[in-house]
Amino acid sequence: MSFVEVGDLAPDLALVDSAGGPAPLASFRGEATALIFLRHLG
Amino acid sequence: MSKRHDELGGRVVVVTFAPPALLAAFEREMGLPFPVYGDPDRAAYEAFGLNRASVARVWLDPRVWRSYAKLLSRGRRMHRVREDSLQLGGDVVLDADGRVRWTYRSRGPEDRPSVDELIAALGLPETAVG
Repeated sequence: MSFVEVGDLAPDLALVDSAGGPAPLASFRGEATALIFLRHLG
Repeated sequence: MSKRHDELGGRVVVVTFAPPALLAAFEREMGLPFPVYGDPDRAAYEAFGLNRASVARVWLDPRVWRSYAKLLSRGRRMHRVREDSLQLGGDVVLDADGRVRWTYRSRGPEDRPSVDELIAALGLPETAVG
């Protein structure tokens, strides 16, 4: 299975914001962005 | 990380695969200075190579129990995990053009980069450059 690696463009997919709306990864362009992926909310 | 918000040279967002209906309450409860986004089908987790661990690695590994003991000794409260406890986390930094600048794929529940590593990957604020 291939993953996105350093140097690749972020995949064309969207997260969901807390209001339930789409938040495409592309919308983060314009500023460096750290994505912290949690294991769980506990 | 949230205590060092001023040191950051970019945006920080938190991503969870928990149901989106829980996001707003989580944001309020934690008082994070960062927005929280959902990835309920784990498409981003999968795309960035953030895997699931084995039951043994998550629940029987002494490294995990040591890390929980450390958190408890600091007064951290533990909650029952309602999501898939085998899913691992990780960290990804995208540059301003949307390219992946840095990744950290956790190999176990206790395996996370230091805040310093993450801040270094994100870069310094514009005002701190030069």
